[in-house]
Amino acid sequence: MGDVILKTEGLTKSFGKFRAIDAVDLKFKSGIITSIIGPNGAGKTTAINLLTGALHPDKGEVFFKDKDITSLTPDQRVKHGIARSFQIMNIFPMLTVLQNIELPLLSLLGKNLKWFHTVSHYQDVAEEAEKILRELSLWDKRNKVAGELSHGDQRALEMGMAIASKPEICFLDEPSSGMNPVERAAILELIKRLAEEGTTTFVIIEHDMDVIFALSEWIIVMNKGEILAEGKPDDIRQNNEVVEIYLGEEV
Amino acid sequence: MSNFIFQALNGLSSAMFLWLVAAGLTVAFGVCGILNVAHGSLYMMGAYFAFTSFQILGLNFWLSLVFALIGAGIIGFLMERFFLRRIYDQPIEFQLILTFAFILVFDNLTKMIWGTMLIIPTMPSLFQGTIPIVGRPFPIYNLFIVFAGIAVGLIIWVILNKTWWGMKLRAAASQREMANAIGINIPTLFTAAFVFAALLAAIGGALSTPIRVCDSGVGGAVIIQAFVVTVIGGLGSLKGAFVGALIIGVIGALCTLYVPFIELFVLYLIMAVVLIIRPQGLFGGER
Amino acid sequence: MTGLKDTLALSIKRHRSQLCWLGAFIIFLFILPLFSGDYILYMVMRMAILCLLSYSVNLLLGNTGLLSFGQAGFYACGAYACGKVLLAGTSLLPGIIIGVAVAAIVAIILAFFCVRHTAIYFAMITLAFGMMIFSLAEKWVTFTGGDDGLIGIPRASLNFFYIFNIKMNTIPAYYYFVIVATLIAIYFIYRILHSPLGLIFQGIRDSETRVSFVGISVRKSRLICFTIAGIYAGLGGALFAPLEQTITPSTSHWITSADPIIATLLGGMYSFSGPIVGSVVYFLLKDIIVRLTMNWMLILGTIIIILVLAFRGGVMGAFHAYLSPRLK
Repeated sequence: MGDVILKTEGLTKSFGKFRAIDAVDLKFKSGIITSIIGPNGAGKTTAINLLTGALHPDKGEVFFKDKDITSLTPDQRVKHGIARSFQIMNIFPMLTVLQNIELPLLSLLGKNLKWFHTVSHYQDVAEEAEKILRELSLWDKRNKVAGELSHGDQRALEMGMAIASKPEICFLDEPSSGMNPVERAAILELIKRLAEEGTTTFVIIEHDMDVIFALSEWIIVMNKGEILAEGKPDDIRQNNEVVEIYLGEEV
Repeated sequence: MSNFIFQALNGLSSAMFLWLVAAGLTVAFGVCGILNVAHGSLYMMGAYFAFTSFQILGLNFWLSLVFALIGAGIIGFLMERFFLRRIYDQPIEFQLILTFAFILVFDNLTKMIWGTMLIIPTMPSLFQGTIPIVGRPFPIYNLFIVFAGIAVGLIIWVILNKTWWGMKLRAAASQREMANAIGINIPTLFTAAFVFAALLAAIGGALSTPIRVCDSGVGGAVIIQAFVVTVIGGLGSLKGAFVGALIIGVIGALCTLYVPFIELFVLYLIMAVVLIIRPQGLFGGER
Repeated sequence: MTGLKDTLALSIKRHRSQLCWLGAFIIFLFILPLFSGDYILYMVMRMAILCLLSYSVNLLLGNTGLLSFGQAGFYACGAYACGKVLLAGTSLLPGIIIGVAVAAIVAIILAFFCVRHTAIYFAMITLAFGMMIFSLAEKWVTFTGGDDGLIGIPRASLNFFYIFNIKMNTIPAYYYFVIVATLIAIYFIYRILHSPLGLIFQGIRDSETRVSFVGISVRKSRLICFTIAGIYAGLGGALFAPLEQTITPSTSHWITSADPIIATLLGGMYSFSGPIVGSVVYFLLKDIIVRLTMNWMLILGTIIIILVLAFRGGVMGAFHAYLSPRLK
């Protein structure tokens, strides 16, 4: 608890002439719920993409527990213990809820090359799937097609898929976007509960300040592709530069 | 050595036919997003329309070209307006299968209308004769083709870069939603673009009649070569289509001279290699 | 862990009505020779072979979302390999097995080049490879017989380690072999598609990015899918060689690749029995139309156009849409 498990050194990424991330040194400590905030275009989602392997950096390295993972593909990073959920919904819309959860579990439990028996034949997969779905209150809807769920349920499923791979560090990209206050509270509760019960370190990207200050133990503020400030929530709240950045924003 | 030059020039002229079909394919793909497998059939129908009007109706050469353009234009319009338009938002498999079905229909219709009549090369009197190049007689018509191909290229360039309509086409090609948002009438534009693409193919077919035999099955062979060209040049790039056509035309002709055995194999090998090493071709965008 | 017996019992309970239909269909296939002539049996065999090709296409298209225009290449590999082996004088099984093996090896090699790409580029590169095999078949006269192809392939007898030796030169005898082989193959595809591997294939079709983020290598899964598809196409070819007893380069042409694509589309891309239904319907259509008119291409083309514009799910899709309020 408290050790740095994921860090970057000099991470740089440009899209054409636009420098999205500029020589950034991020550090994430295990067991501490961290948030990344910043105005639109600050580079938050690019940072997540670079950390999880969706993008390759122009310069710089990513280290997971002191191992250089910069060249690893996303699926390799998941196997190391880095997972994420997506801002724009990325569940499997044509598969059932149960099948959605089964996929990360198949990978986790090494069953992805099995080709003869049905998925439900594998007890360990079935038990884990039930456990996770019950925690998300989605067990009753397990045979529904995922694309037909309510928005809040889809988000919960999305998160369930992220933690199903039992990651050590899990990035949640705007987990409460597009939600009404009731759904938002539910997601908050869920994240808090998962953080307390499990061994996953959560890193949350959010715009909603209530969510940020309710959950976070550490906040990183990004702006224009650089880290503007980082620290405990109270310190950040009183940081003048941060307040200035958000002066024009609806909080 | 003179053999080499001579054959290369031959290749240059056959490249022009490839260029015209590939240009049409590229416009259809770049603007409308349709990969039209039946584009070779449009080439074929251009040839048949031209040949019929020239040979059977006795119209002069230039009028027969116009005839071909009108015929293909109508067909292109019907294709896009009533069929292709409905599958724009569907996955590419449906496009490929639908346009493949059009090949079946067009080939069969051609057989029904013209029977098994072959198009036999008949040179219009205007272009009869040869010019000596590297000491050997080179058909004037083939030279004409080279100039015609380049001319069409210039015309396309002018249209795309200097006219209002061309600008709309380029806007729609790069950013469909934005173009729609600023008031460009996308459906009409797409129809016009596709008709334009059909005209290009038809001109290719029509110009080929004096020097090439054509039957109702030529559509299939032409489209494959056009695919190879667009792959090399880059899907969606007109410049690429031109360069790709030159490469394939010249290499194909040289193969016929030196290694006639494996010409087809070499063609597909080049296509496969390009797809493996640099799938976006020479000038294509990132993908 | 539940044993195979329990799994079977569970499956049977779940799909009772479907299994009844299946059982009736299989019984029908087995008693067909009793009241049909050789021509009908020949047609059913061609349907079965097309069905294997259609599963090959369906595996790639309906499951991982990749349209291949080159499956005929593997079909030809299986056919030529089996043909060469049988011409060398072996019995039936070695020919079939070697045919499938050759197709599998070619598939594995080509897979590395093909699966890097998606959508259009995949279609194009499979087209290119398929046509390269076609050119080879045409020009490598000493090995493949060139345009004339391999002729006089013996329909060797089924010799099972000298335990039994069944002559295959009558159509009904070979018919049973083809039907049994096809049914076994379809059974295995069924198991695969309902297994973890099959779920992964469907996940890739649904959302490729998400699959890599659950920890599964999309590239490796596609390699496996491509190889299996190649095996099935090769099996079709290997069964075809002793049937037709002549193999020409056209088996590898991209137009031959189009047949199973249309059959799959007809039958329904996203349903398991789509390829079976589609192959039967497509074959019957083609046969009937060819008899009625010289203009079969026109009619076939028109039907395909109507299908693409009207029914995205093919025959099975329309069928399911009609029935689903009443089922389940």
